Amino acid sequence: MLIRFAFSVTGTAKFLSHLDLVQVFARAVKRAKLPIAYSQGFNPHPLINLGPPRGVAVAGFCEYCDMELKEDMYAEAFEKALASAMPRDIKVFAAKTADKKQGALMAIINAATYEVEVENAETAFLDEAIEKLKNAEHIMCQRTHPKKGVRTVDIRPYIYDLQRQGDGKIFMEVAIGNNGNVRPVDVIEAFGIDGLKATEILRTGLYIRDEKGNKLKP
Amino acid sequence: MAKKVTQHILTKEIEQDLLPYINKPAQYLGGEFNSIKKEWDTVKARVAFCFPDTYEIGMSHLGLRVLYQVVNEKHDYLMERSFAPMTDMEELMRAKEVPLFSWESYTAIKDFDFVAFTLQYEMSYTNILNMLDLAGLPIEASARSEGPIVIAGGPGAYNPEPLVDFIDLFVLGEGEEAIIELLDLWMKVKAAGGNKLDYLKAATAIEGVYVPLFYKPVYAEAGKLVGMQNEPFAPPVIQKRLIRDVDNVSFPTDGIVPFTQVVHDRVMLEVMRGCNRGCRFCQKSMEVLLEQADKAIAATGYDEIGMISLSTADYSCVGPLIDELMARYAKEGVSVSLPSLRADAFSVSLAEKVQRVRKSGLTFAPEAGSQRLRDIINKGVCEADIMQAVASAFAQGWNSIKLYFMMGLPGETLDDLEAIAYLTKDIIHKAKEVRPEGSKKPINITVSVAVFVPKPHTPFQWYGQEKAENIRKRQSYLRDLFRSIKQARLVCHDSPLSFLEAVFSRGDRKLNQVLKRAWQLGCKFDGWSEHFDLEKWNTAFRECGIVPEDYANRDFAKDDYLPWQHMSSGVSVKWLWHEWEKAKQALVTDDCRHGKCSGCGVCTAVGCDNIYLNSAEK
Repeated sequence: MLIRFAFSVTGTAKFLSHLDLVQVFARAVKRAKLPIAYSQGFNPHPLINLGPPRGVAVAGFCEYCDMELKEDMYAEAFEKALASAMPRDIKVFAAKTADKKQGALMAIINAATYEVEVENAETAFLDEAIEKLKNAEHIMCQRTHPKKGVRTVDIRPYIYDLQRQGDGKIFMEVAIGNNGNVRPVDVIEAFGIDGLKATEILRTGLYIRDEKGNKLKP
Repeated sequence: MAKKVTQHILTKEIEQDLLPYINKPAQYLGGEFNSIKKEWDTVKARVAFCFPDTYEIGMSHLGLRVLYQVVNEKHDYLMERSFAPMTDMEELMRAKEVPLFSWESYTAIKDFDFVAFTLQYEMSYTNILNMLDLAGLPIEASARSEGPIVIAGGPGAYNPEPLVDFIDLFVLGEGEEAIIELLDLWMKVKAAGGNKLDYLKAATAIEGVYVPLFYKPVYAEAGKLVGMQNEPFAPPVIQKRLIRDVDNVSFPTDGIVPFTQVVHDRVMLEVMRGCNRGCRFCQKSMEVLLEQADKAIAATGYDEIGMISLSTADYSCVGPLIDELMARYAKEGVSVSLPSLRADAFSVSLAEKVQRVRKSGLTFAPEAGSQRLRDIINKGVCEADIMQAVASAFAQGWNSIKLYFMMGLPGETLDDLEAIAYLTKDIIHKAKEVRPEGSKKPINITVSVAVFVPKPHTPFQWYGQEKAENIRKRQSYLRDLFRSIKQARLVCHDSPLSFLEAVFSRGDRKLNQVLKRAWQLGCKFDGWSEHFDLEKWNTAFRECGIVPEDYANRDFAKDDYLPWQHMSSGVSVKWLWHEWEKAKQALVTDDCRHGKCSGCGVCTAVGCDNIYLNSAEK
């Protein structure tokens, strides 16, 4: 059976890479003696699938993970066992059974919300920049690919929402994944404010967004 | 009235200015499963355990885990960890003025009461100086009238002289009990209003403690070392600290699970302590080991148990222990590995047991190519043993094994080196013979040849290392011999590094200034080939007016006063000399477990005896 749960990554754990995180879960599962299924083949590994990677130093409030179990068990019991075996800054919650037919987390999740704390910008300038971006038809962003070189992409269609929340805090909802990907730093750079710096980036949610703009939890 | 504790917590600086900009931030995080973070104001004394290498290397170190548990178990004490930052992190730390910190709470190391280093390897000594400097502490002990007391222990403490300018206090032998005694004493001295000097004086009364401040080397004319003069209150000879009953010692079953891949990524089960060369101590009982294995797997989630001791196959219960471990863990996907093996104790059944879950690498250490040379070093294996061991391995389906040899051993001739090549060829031949039908993978033997470094407190302590030029010639000779052996890969260890090891391992106080100068010139991570800089070391020696060959290649005479003579490992010097004489004639000494006692003096010196757990063996 497939169990899906949410987890938060805060504190210094936000510096763990995607692969580091997979390993943390693999060891936790063993400590918790959970009946995880293994892949076939020469070097069997536990069937753990994480959602899209967060990016360096980005904390996550509501990330997702799928685990394939070889025995059935109640999701609540699973959550309790796993939670007790996790290191300090990673918390698991909202475990439930999931439908494999839905597809892998990285494939179905296509939107994310972020809270970005910034410094070196006056409120008035921020508001002005946000207004300009919302009204823009195109926002060009340069991406450097290790093999494909430098490409320029238009990220405007993939920014669904952008607002200032209090002093020095920006909220955004953007596309992520293979059909359009926007990183918070891309948006901050697009503000075009000299010296604007993001001091803290927090991914507050991951969603499956439909054409009408409705956001569903995976 | 409680004094407010000074604790500089550097979380903000580390998270914002450092971690986002460096490689592998996961190695600097802390908060790992089983790590212990206590609130500073709930304890009375705080120790920073500083491993003088990177996190990935330090987290494999068993000694750290033992002391961590022992100290943190005490209500009034805490221990946090620190490691050498990699060069990119260090550069940024210096640029942003962030001093060295502890992993658990990101507290500045200089705020701790004790800073404890482990001396694992001579070529990590520049890292010790570098870490002190990064912490914002003066590297010289004499310049540190306040701030943490800097202590050091581990194998290097057997000859601490090259470090005495920088370390306040050394612990010789096993530190589990001594460290608590040192902390208890510190509480006492502090309560009585004493200062650092008062503490150091009082500490000399603890067995195993060496405070270099109270000892002065005595030189005769021509600068020859003839003795060590101790202050009257300090013991003339420091006795090694020994844990008498290893079963009852606190064993870290709840080991911290690191965030990164580390060198030994598995549960480490300490099967036996002690060296094999005539010194043997009590062994852990099987029940206790099984219990520890249970707890350790449950607590960490590792999928491999590494059985460690210098030669695991010597542990008398190893067969039954492996059986039991396999029975319990095989179906959970936990495998057992044996890091290095004496060929004579390895057998078909052992090989078969170990390979059942997942085939881990097999390493054998014949050490020398010829029987004559093996007898000189008292390595009690003969060619038949080696061939049988290797045959077991290949018959069970292994395709690649590693062989460890040493070169530069006393009495070595070119014939002995040739014997390494012949032995390898014989092994390959045997492997082809015994391998299961239809084995597709090519046979692969890695032959690793290290340069012998004479160590203090061994029968070879009087023997100077072979001259560098000769070592190079012999390595070249070996390479020529191996060129035609297709299934073998020869790996010769870096001889300039072994040369420096030889300088420091039997060095004296005069080397302190060289160490300092080398560090000032930029030497650090000397054990890493990408950082080791021989030129800088040569400059340091030159500027200090010291000829390193005088240390590395020097032979001591029987009556010479040795720079480590005031440190006692319990083995009598007379016996060591007798062993050295025997070695020169290629005579062997029986293993006191199976043969007769040879009178090394250890059992009487420390008050223990061999205990046999499997009566069939005796």
